[in-house]
Amino acid sequence: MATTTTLSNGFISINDIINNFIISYTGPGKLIPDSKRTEVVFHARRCLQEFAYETLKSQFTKETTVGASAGGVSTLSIGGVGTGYTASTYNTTVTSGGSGTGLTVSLTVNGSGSILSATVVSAGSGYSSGDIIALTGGAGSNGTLSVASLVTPPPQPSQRPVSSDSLAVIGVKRSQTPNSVTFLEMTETLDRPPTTNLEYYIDYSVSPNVLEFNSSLNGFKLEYTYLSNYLTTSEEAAIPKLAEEALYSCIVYAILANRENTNPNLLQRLLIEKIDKLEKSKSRLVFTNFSE
Amino acid sequence: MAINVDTVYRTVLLVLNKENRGYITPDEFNKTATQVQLDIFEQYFDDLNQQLRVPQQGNDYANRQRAIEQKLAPFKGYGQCEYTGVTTPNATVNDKTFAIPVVDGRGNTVINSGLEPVDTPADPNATPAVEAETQVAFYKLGTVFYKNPGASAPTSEVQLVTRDEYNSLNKSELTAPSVYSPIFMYEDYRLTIAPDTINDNVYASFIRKPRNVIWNFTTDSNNNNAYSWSAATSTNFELLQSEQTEVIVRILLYSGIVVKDYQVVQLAAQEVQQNEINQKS
Repeated sequence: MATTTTLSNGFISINDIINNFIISYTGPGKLIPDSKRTEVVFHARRCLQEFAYETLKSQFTKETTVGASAGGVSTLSIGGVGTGYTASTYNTTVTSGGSGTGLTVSLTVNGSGSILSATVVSAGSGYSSGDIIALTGGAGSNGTLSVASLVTPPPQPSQRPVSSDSLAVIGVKRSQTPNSVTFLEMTETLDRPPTTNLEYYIDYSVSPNVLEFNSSLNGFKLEYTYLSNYLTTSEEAAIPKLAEEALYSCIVYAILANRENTNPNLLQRLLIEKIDKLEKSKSRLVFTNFSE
Repeated sequence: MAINVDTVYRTVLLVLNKENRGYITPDEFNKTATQVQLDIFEQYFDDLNQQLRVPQQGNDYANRQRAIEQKLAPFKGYGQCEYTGVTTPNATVNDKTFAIPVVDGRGNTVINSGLEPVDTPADPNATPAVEAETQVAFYKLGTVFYKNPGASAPTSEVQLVTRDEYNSLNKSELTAPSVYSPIFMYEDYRLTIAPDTINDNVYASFIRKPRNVIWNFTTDSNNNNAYSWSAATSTNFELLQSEQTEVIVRILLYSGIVVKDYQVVQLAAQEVQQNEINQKS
């Protein structure tokens, strides 16, 4: 399930809704025998927008770099692809060279161990655009990376603003490898900044959209999950399961209404079902408080 | 299991030689047998299309869709598509493409040159021992998958679209492809995938071509140089054994033409037609 880790029991991603719909509602012998995935994707995204702005909250996950120091690396371009690197997506490789220190990256490599892509795990500090960095750790020749852009330093050390569409942050995690994920807790004390690297703090008196961390996390990338106040076309968005059935009804109706030979009586029945399920899910969602 | 080529050849000869109608040489047999195997094989795709439009019985052996899928199963392969695109910022959409698989899931080399596959036998006596090398010929592309390397993301099916659809779909946010719903164009045996952030972890299923049928022989000097079947250098039919009667009847049809006996052609054609009526009604 995509990006619904915190509230997975109550939410489902649009991607899963699309997959479920294709398996259960389309195919030989069913009402929709010949639909394409692109068609279902369009109607799923469009039907999502049919829901009222205030009744359907979407959940997203985004990345941020904590309290980056000046000269922290944001993006890299590949100079030399090198050889002999481990075929792993999460192969953290210590780097050397350039004008700064502390940069670590995660590599994607091909079958012969040459680098396909490199993403920043820890931004480091003191780098300049265009710095050439050698990647140690390959069994063959070393690859090189060039600093393409730098992280914009936050307004204050150890703080990061979250996405402007955020209603509420519901989880923060630090993820360096698939097997090593650490969830941070929101501190309830007035310690500012938090005293450990396992906590984050939100000062609601200032802004609900600024996270504050312990300075030991400076330079590290974190993932935060939040409820958005607007709807999206992203398939990672998490939809409350109370609205799942209504979405299926909307998609079925939208697809069949677009077919020239659909029986009008059937279409009428589907329209009534769609309206009924939409109303039911809206009334359920209005009276559900997800923060409890 | 495959159909034994010797059984088929002997049966064909038996039927043809009855009443001294004629004789078909091993070379003639090999060519007609290969032709018949491809005939039947190609027919599977049309049959499957036809059966997909017909409601099927749940019963294991009465389900025709499942039966055809079983017949195709020996020819199905799966392999990773190598990204050979250019990663420079100025690369155009045509530069960022994937090749069809060059190695299947069992380690066989996939060839797409029009040449027939060649098997190199293992040599356990060599130092170090040489493993058997096998080639398979690419025939049809099946389903393309993208295995998103992110821990929480599932495998996505990549949908085949035409070039005009490819451009149109990319123009709207509501239809734009994503790593969860990627699309691809298939042109000149190359896959162009959108979104173009996908540059690895693409896999494709495919159908390989059946191997040419070969009834090979040695001559027996003690028996007037008669043909003696050589099992080791022959290649059996790769179709399932359930197709044996169909294979024999169709070879007889071609053989009737070779020996110019139109009674055989007529009888075989009637038999083929009757079988098709039974299978599709």
